[in-house]
Amino acid sequence: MARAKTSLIAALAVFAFLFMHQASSLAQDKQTPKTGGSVAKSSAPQASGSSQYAGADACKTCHADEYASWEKSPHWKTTLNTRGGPSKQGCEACHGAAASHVADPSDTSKLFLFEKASAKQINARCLECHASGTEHMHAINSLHAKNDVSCTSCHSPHHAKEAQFLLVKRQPELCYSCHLQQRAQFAMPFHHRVNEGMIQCTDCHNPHGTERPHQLRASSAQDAVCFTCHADKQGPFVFEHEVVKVEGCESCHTPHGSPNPHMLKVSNVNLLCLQCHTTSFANAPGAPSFHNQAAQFQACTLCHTQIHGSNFDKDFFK
Amino acid sequence: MTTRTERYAIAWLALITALLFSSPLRAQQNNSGETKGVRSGDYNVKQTIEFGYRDSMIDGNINNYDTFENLGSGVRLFNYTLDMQSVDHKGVFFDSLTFSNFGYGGDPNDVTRLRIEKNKWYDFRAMFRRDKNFWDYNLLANPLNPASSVPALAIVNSPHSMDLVRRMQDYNLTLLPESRLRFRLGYSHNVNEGPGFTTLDGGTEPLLAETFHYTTNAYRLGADYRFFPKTTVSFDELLTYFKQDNTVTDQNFPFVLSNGTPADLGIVFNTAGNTPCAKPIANGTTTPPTATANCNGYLAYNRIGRPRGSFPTERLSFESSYFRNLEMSGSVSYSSDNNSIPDFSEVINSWTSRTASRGSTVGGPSDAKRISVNADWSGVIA
Repeated sequence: MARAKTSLIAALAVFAFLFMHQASSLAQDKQTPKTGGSVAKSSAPQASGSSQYAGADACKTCHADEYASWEKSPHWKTTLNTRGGPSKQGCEACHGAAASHVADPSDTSKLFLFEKASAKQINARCLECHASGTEHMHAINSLHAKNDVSCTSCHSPHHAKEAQFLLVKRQPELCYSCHLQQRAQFAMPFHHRVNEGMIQCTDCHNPHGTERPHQLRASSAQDAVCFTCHADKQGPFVFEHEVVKVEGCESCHTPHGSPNPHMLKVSNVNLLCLQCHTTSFANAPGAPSFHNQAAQFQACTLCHTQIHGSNFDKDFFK
Repeated sequence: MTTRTERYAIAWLALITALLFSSPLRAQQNNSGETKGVRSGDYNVKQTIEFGYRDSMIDGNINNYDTFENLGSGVRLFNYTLDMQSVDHKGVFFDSLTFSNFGYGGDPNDVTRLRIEKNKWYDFRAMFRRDKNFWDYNLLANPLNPASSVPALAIVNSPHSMDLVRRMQDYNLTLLPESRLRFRLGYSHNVNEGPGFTTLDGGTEPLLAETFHYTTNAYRLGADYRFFPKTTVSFDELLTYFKQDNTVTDQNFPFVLSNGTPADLGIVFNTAGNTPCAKPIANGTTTPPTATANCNGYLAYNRIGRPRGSFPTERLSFESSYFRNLEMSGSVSYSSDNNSIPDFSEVINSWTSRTASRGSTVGGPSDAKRISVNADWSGVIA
């Protein structure tokens, strides 16, 4: 507890100092006169040695619909990026220098055309701006990227159906578009309430990749993401059920959905427990002979109620 | 409870109706089918609302229905969304606001999501979720009492049934989201509480009433700094605190001893196997029935344990595509988890024949610690 307080105070002090420093420099930026006109009009052609760039207003002349959708989107914020120059602003931040295209509409040689680019090229393009931070830090190495799923497979900068994150569809339908097996799992009698809207796929998975299998997120303590909600199962317990920590929740549960109660892998609890607790399995004690599972006591958790770990009993009775 | 939730629903509906008619909103659509919204001051405003009354007529096993669906009757807010976008991206306090809700009025899942952002300055997200978890499914924890037992007691309700409500709040604030140095602050509050039942091994299996109460508070501080072009280092301080305030008592006494003392012989009846004993009922004509004196059973049970957990974690991570053909990311984290139970107390008044135990009192502190260190690095050479 003392360590936590010390860490918190130290972190707060550092953050406060850095925030004040950064905020003051941001305010200074705002007060500095800009050569290219006001911030709101910064989409106009820039004079800073950028004859290759035409500015968003030039694009608007022919691409009015695209301009209108872009203007309402978060990408409009690129026009505020006065430090990056015209290559980081407006339409050309994504589509590349357009001056030659404006001069000769048939000349698309300098443009980045998303519909003709590979998934890898598209991802690299988007990550030029979006790579920083913990959410996208594994994007290049993500399972989606490895399987040629590009950013624009899920996000649509111009035709998004969901304003938040410019998604092409709302979750979970977006994820189900490819993950049909998971759609079926969430339709099972016992399931996490994803279809009901209670939780979202992205609560547990980071579609932009993580260092964990299945692109799973982690709890605050860097344990399984399950403990974010199911904190009472996290421990550390005085008496640990090692499988929870070593093999994880999925050794007993199917997290998306299951025909079995508590999303267990099997319908009878004892059949699940006996997968480890047999005399032939060296690392777990075998079930005692007096358990008489042929007729009764098939439900191991009737007695071993605290099966995820106990603070009070080595046999997980309480 | 129903009256209270309906009152909430009516209050919500009144609020939303007021919002709905606060400006002359009339849905307009452009050629692409997109709702245009209305101009209100500096903002383009779009709202949708869907509310009504659900009438549920359920026959059969209500507990089973509630375990799976739990959709009752009443006034419901099925969906409400509010979307405000600054027309010229120069809103005073925010440039974009999205607010969505559903499930209020008594549905098992209620969710509110809010996102407010001001270009360059902040991005704030809040979420409230309430999840009702009713559970009475007796396939698990069923001792499968044989019909040949005297008495034969069929288990028709789950010995581990529960009626819990989980309320989760999450708040995340990113300051200076577009800048080279940005800050992240977060707080989550998760409460899971309600009544339920549990069992305990000890000669027989008493059905115990348990009040569940779990609380988790999590605080997050983080910063991202772009050291070089295409190279960002992030630091996170994550503090999570967990507390459990469950109490367990025996409130199930369907028998009495010959002196009139209420007795609990448990829920496992297999007299051929001497559970709770060969002849548990000494006199079945009394009300309630009189239990045999030397039978396994409980006269009183009380348990209190208040585990307190803390999970301070530091995490340093980076990503870089600074080098032309090499992209990297990695992180290292250190977490020292501590679980302290300062005042465990268990008082048992029972008879357990296999250990010849008449009862016990157990108390005292205990604690557990775990240190987790994680590190990873990945690189992609193009």
